[in-house]
Formats: sequence, C-alpha cells, structure tokens
Amino acid sequence: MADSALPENLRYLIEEFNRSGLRELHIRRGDFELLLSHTDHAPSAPAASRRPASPSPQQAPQAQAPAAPPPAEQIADGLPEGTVAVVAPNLGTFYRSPKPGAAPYVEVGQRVEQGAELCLIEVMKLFTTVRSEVSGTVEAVLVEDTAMVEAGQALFAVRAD
Amino acid sequence: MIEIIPETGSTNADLLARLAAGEEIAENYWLVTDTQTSGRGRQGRPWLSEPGNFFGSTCISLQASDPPPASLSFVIALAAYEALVPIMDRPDRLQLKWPNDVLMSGAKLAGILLEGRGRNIVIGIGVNLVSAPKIADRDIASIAGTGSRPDRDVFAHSLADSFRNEVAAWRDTGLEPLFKRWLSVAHPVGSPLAVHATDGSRIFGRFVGLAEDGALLLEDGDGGVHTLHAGDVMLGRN
Repeated sequence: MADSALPENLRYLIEEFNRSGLRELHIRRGDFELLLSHTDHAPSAPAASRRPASPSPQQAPQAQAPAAPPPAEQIADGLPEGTVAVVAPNLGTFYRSPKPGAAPYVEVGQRVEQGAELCLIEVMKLFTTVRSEVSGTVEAVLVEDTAMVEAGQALFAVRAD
Repeated sequence: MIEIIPETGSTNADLLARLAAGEEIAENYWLVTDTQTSGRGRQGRPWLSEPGNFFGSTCISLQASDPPPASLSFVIALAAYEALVPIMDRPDRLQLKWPNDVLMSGAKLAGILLEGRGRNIVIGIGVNLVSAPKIADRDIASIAGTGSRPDRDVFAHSLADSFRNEVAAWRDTGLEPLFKRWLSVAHPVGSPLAVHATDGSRIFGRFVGLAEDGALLLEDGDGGVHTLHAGDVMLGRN
C-alpha cells in the first residue's frame, strides 16, 4: 500500500514508531491486530526506572535512544469491549490537566469530538498534547495522573459513535 | 526569517494556533514579540514578560530519521548558551541545568518550553536580557544586572543562527556529540541535585550523567541510580 493511501493516524503511528527506536509494537484488540516490527523477536519488558548499580559517569551516550517496546498486553488488556484505546505517543509523565490544580481535560462519561485534547505527556520539558482519534464517549481513564507511561501504553478507552 | 510583533498573548500559543489552522510553519522562522500578556512556562506557570527581554518561538517539523524529539530540549539550550556567550562580560558564569534551563551564577536567566503537535514541535524561549522579573522562591537573573545592555534584535538573530546550526548537527550527528557538548557546559558530574518529581516526591542525590535518551541520572545516598524523565531540578540541595 502506498503511504499516501494509509489513514493519517496509521501513517503517523508508523512514523512515530520508526522514530522512537522501538524494536516492536504490537496492538491487539478484538478483531483488530497491528504489528510493527524491526525484528523477529518477541517484545520484552519495559526498562526499569530505577537501576541498582551506578553507571560510569563518563559513559558516552548512543547516537539514538533505543527504548524498550511497550508490552502488548498494556494495550490489549483492560479495555472495555468495543472501545478504542488512545495511546501514549512516547514515554513520559501523564497529566490529566493542563496545569496543577486545573480541571482535567476530560472526565469519564464525557463526550469528545475527534481531535479533542485528552491529556499531556511530558518528557524533558517537551509537552505533547494527546488527542482523541475518534468522536465518542470517554469510557475509562487507564492511568493515574502524573504516572510515568511507556510509548504505546493505553491511556484512555473511548467508545466511538 | 524573524517576524517581530509588538504584543501577543504567547508566541508559543500563536504558533500552535497557526498549526491547528493547517498552516505550515517553515523551519528557521521565528516569531518574536516585544511583550507577552500570557507568557507561560512548565506546568502552566506564568512567564513574566517584561519589555526589553527576549520572547520568541520557532517550530521544527520532525522527519522520520530525526532523533527523539525530546532531545530538542538540549538543542535549544545549547543554542541559547552559544548566543549568550558573546554578549556577556563574564560568560564563565553561564551554566545549563537539566534539561534546558540557562543559569547565570545559579540564577535563572532563560526559560524554555517545548510543545508538540503531531509532527511539529513548537519551541519557545524567554531570555532576561534587560530585567529580571521578581518571583517568590526563585532566583532570577538578567544580563543587564552585570552591566551589559544587549540589543534584543541582535540577540534574536544570533539565537536563530545558533539554533539553525544546532538543529543541523542534531540531524547529522545524533545525540552523542550533542550530549557531550551539553555536559561540558552544564552542572558537573558529581553535583548535588534535588529533583521535585511530578508526583510530589523529592529525590536527593548527585548527578552522574545522562541516559542514552537524555534522561537525568541521579545517584541517591544508597548508591541506587534513578532515571528521571521529568521534574524540577534544584542545584546544590543535598
């Protein structure tokens, strides 16, 4: 299929996948399944956020930033039947509201239009707005406010119209 | 190209609105304003926009081969550092703080905020050229406080040039040389730091370097190393 024939959201997801350094991304829900892979190996667990040993301070970073792939079960499990997952575009901190103390972008039960702002993801002072890819109703918020999320992790379940 | 307007709410908000309306914003374009009425920083904090200081935003359109976009935090910080060195009497007082704060003698001289919309990253920066806003519990500095009085427009062109060169290097040579140069002008390895994490917790330790993706590596008193991707970093708070 030519790139131009791909749905915009899928093309964007592929570009983000290529840029992310992930080896594999596997989304499975109901009859829908998507596997993006640079390898034949199965996905591995995400990297721990705390390491027991000190690295060498002089250790040179790599040119690219390989990140652990998101486990497929994060997306496949925990979603109400028939809902669409809104996933994190990258690793980072999940914010339900635009600033501390402000009302959340959306609440469970709220109707949203395609493109509506749902949350922010922050990594190293880059704030990325996550938007709904469908019009529908927010059925579940799957992550606690200010929690760390992995790239591809399901954040919201939205029941499309 | 640098477009200068007398006043706006926020240069970042302006560029985001133009992207939302379907406009394509060319790289190397900067929107600079004399003053902002709703300047903002991390987590919605207001950025006080006093006349004479620099406030501007630019945009990067991500390409498939680009390094991870969060590393642009280091790119813009280095560009700001390079643009500031020639206009300071004592450039040795400049220091970068993870990931993209610019300090002068430990006080905040510039603030940077990156906002992503699809394939576009809007990058806003405020630099205290002539005055330091008074903010409770924050040490704020301005270049004018050292006796210099830099010209805003000269600085704007210098920053645009530095950023264009840094982006080209980021695309051509990747993260390793970028991080090496950032480390050479940032708080030294071994510096005591306190990080106020986004969940409200505080982590104390010493800086031991950057992870492969630029995350802050902080070694606590027990020898454990924390990999932090967000949070407010305070120097010398052990």
